[in-house]
Amino acid sequence: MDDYKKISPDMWENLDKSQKDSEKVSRKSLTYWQDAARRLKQNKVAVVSLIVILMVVLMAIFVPLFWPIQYSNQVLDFSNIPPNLEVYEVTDGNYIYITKAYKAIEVSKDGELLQMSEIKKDDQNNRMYIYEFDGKELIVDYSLYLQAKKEYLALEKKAKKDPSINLEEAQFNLDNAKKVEIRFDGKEILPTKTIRNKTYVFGTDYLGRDMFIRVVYGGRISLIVGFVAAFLNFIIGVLYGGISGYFGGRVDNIMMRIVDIIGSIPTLLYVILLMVIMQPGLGTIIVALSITHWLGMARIVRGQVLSLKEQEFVLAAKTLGASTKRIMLKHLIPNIMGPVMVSVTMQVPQAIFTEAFLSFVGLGISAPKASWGALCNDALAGLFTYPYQLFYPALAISITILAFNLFGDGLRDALDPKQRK
Amino acid sequence: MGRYILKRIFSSVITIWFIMTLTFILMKSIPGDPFVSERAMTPQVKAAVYAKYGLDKPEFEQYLTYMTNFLKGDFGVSFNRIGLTTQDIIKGGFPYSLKIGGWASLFIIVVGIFLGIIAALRQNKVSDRTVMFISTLGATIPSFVFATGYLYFFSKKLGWAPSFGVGSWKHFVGPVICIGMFSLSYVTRLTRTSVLDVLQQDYIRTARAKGLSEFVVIGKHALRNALIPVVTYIGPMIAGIVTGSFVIEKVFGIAGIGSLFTTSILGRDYTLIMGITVFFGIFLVTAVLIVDIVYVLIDPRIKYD
Repeated sequence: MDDYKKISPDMWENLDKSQKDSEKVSRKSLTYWQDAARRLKQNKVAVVSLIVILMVVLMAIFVPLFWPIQYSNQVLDFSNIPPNLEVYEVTDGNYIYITKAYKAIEVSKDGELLQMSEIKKDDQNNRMYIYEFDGKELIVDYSLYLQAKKEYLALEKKAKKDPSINLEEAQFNLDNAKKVEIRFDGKEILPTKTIRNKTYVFGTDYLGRDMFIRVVYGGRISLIVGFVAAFLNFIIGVLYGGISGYFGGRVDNIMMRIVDIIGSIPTLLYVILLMVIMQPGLGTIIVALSITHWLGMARIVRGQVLSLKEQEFVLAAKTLGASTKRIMLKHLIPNIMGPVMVSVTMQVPQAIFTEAFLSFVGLGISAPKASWGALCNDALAGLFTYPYQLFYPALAISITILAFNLFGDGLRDALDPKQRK
Repeated sequence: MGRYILKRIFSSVITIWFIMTLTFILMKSIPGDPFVSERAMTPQVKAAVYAKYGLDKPEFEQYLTYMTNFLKGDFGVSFNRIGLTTQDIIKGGFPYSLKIGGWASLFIIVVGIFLGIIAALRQNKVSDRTVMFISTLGATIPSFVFATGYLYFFSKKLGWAPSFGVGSWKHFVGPVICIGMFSLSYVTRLTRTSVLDVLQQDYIRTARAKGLSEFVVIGKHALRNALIPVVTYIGPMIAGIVTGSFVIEKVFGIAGIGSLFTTSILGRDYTLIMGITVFFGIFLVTAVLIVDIVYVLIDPRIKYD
């Protein structure tokens, strides 16, 4: 019983205060958001997506501020110039590019567009444009294509009687036939080299507007639509879902039946109807998307609030006399932010997607403004001749939506409480 | 179960009524009326025109006429093109859209389920990752990008596919693939997740323990349950195909109902737009209703509430 007396008193001496925690094994406890951020950082795909999103956003904000060309500037002489130029060297160091409309454009050695050459003679009988360089004639002979077309049309007539003729192949051959012959000083010349267009890095559209700045500017519009619509959906969804879930019972029942009915209406049809009825424009698109896309958010919020409101901390807050508004804003909503944030992230690309769809159908932003969808729509008519006009906006839209979706996936994984370690 | 089906039918009817009413309200909320921008009309002519279209009656009466006309199958007339009715548009364009939509659905279901199973059985292997990567692209790239890309490569560059119109089967390959891309990706992912989920169930282990071949285990025991979630997606899939048709038919130059709809939108042909909207609304709600009923019939575990 008296064993403790065997321990010598000097062993009971107090340690220095600084050594108090020396035996404790611990790490800093992480809050929910810190933990999620840590897991998000480990997800390489999500990080790369976030970087892509940030880059797209920053470019959309800042590039138009210092880019020398305005998005609405038209240079009709330089219409439909591709980003890669097949140039002909006519005289030493003097390059020309022949457009698809058989006009000659003088190009500097490293790819800057100088000016459109003046046509010396427009020989319509022989289908050729004649220019003059250094006192010698440059002939752009575009009669070849018309010849091929004539042959094709003759074949088409024959094919009506003789089904064995393969028209599709003939059509294909026609499309890929040599369309133009360039003769300088009597001799045929061939393209010397292909150079990057330095003046317009993405080329120009049918009005000679710079595609690069239009894609960047279109990004601005598309991103504004995406973010604002997602934000409005967030506000409406959280309020509606929050009220429905918090009050429960009959209120909840009625509010959710309304959601069910609206939800079973094909939303896109109604977005289209609203766009038809209201004046087309940025505001209209945002309103149309906001009043039709908040349902998912409201359902998520309601579900979360229903389960959270039974927990002790809400009871505690009620006991302390907190008002309904305070319980909602300070206690419930902060606790449901995880799933809500994921949903908001997914709303952004969806809104961009829908806007692109509407613009592509012709219901979106009107000229000279442009969104990515509108740019794609403009380019559709010239797809086979000027594919680059469709390529860049299509690429921009695909990359952005992909990045948002991958980031949203990453965010969902990171915020999933089941994965918390 | 019968009660559940009745309830679903009832709520579908309510929804259709709601769609029709909403469309009517929207139609009435357009400033002015169809004849306000026409050349100046004498009061007599105006009164005659209004009387012909029933616009002189009180709004509620107009609403009743509108509803009864729909019930009789009269979806309204175009007011841009004389003599053209919504029924003409539907009769002219719907067969093409139905053909594309039908083949697209088949394509989505067969290929989507197949790829989903492959991905699930080879989880985290190269084939799984490839399928998942492609399906991510499929779900994120807008269909008009797919469609234009398809046209550019297969018609322009390679000359394999005709670029517009309808004719031989070759005309339909592009539209069917492009219209189905989004839903295909979704079905693939859904199948993969649900097969993975089912494969962890105890009865699969039991089936394997009995010494059944892997083919029977997967094909007979796993798939039956794994495919139930896929059935629920068929309703939204039909909606996706319908809206997809707006874009795809425009790109491929097919005079289906989708492209006729977009043409009437661009022409601001209000009555036609409203008529087709209601038609689409009814079509989609009915399609979802049928899918829901089929779902109840094949899955005995469903809760009827």
